[in-house]
Amino acid sequence: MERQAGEKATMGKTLDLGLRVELLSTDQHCHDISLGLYRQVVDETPRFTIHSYSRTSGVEERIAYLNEAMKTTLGLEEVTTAPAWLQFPCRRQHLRPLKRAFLDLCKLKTGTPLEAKPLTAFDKKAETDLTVVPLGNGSYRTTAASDNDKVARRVAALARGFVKLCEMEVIEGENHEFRFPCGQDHHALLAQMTYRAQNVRATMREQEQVAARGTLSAPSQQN
Amino acid sequence: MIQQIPEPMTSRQRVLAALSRQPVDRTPICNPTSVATVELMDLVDAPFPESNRNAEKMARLAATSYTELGFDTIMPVFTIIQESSALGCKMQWEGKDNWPTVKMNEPIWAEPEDISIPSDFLTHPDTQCVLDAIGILKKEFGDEVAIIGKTMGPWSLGYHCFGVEKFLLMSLDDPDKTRRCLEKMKQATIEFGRAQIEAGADAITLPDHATGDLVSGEYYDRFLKEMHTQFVEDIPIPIILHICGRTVDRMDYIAQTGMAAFHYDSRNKPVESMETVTQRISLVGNINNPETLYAKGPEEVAAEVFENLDAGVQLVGPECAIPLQTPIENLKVIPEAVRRWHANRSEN
Repeated sequence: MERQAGEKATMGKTLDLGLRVELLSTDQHCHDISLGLYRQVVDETPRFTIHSYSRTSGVEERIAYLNEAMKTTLGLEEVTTAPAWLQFPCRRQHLRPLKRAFLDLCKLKTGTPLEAKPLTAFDKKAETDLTVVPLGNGSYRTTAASDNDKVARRVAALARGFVKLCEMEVIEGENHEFRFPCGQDHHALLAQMTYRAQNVRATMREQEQVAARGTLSAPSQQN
Repeated sequence: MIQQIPEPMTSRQRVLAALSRQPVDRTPICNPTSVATVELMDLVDAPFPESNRNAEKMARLAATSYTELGFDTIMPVFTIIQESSALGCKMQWEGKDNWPTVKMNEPIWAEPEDISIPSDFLTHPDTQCVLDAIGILKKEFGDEVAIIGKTMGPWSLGYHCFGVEKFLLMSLDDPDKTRRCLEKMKQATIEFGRAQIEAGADAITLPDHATGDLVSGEYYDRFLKEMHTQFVEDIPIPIILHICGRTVDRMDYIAQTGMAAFHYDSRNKPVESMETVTQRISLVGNINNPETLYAKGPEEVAAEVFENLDAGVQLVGPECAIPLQTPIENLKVIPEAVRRWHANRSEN
C-alpha cells in the first residue's frame, strides 16, 4: 500500500460536493459501484449532481447516462455555469420525489432509450387507465376513463399518493386536485412518479428496507 | 481532559494519552469499531466482503479513516465475526452494502465440553488477514497514527457459537456452566488480542455484548467484571471495552476493571456517563449512528460532538460501527467540529 511520492497521509481524495441526499449502494448495471446524489445550494438555488468515487471502467459513461435520464425523464436542466450540475426549472428542490426517481432511474441499464413518460398509466387495481390532468401553474387532477366505486377509490388514492410522495399540496374543496408549492408545472416528474404514487405503501416499505440495510446490529439483535 | 496544553502531538500520541487520561493538545477523534462506508470502498477499490477477508484491501479501506476523514485512529477490523469464522461458525459474508453475520441459528457448540479453540485459530484466513492488515498499516503509518485492533470478548463469542437464546437461557439456568464456557472461550479473546499486539496494534477494542437490552448491570458484575479485569493483564495494551445500548447501570463496574476506555452508546448521556465513571476510565463516543450520522446532517453531528466535548469525554467518535451508507460529509465534520470547539475554547 504505497503512497504517491510527496503525498501526505492527510491529503484526502474525497470531494466537497455538498450534502449527499440519496445513495444507491450498489449499481447492478455498473460493477456494483455506489452512486450518490449530491445537493448544493448556490445563490439560494438547489442544484444536484451524481457522483461515484469509483474509478472502475464505465463509471463516467454510467453517470453521463443517468444525468441524461434525469433531464429527459424528470425535467431537470443543466446549470449553464456548471455543466455537471442539474436543477429544476423552478429553482426549487422537490427533494422527496427527486430522491425516489433517482433510485428508480438507476434501475435502467445504460443505453436504455430514454423518454418522458405519459401522464396516463394503467392501474392494476382499478383495471383501467388513470390520468393526471395538468391544470396549469403546478396544479393537477387525477381522473379515470371509466367510473365505478373501485376506480373512484383508486383515483383518490393516486391523488393522495402524489401528495405524499411528491410533497404536493391538496387543493381544498376540489376533488383529487393538488399542486406543487412552487406553482410551476412538472409533468415529467409526475409522470415518472405515477407508478410509485399508485403503490405508496410498497414504496414506503422499500424505503424502510433500504434504510435498514448496512446497519450493524449487536449480536443479540442478529438472527 | 486538558490540563496543560502540550506541544502538538501526533495522532498516535494524542490517542494513547487520552486513553490514559493524560493531557492532550486536542481531543482525539477515535473509531474503536468501524467507519467504513460504501463510498470509501469505491474510493480505494476495497469493497466488502473482500475487504473483510483480504489484508491488503482491509488495510487500504481502514486507512481512509485517517487519510480521508481525519480521524486519529485506524481500525482495520470492521466486523465482529472474524474470530467466529476461525472458530468454525457458519458465515454469511453478504455483499458490498451489508455486514457479514454468523448464522446463529446453526450453533456449533452446546456444552462447555464442546468448546475447542482450533490449532489454526490464528492462521485461519479470517484472523490471519487481520494480523496482516495491522502489519501493513504499522509499516505504512509507523508512529504517526494509532492503530487499533479488535478481539471479541467471550460473551459475544457465546452468542455466536451457542446462539443468543441458548446462551442467555444457560446463563439463567446454570450460571456455573456459563462461567465454564466463558473461561474456555476467553482463550480465543486473549490469543487474538496478543497476536494483534505482536502485529503492531497500539490499542485493542474488546466488544463484549452484555448489552443493555438483554443483560442487566448486575449480570455484568456477576459474569464479566472479574474476567474483564483479568484481561487488563492478559492483553497488555490499552483496552477499549465496547458494549452497545443503555449501560450506565454497569459503567461503575466497568470503571473498576482497569481497562483504558469504554466505548459508549448514545443511549447514555455524556454528562451522566462521565459522572458515573469519575475519571477511572476514559470514555469514547458517542455520536448516534442510525439517526444522526446516517440520516441527519453535519450540523446535528457537530452538536453531538460538542455535547461530548462539553462533558469532558476523552475521545470523540461514532457510538459503534457506522452504517455502511453513512454520508462522508457527516464523518468529515467530526474532526472539524473538534477543532472548532477547541479554537473557540482557546479564544475564550
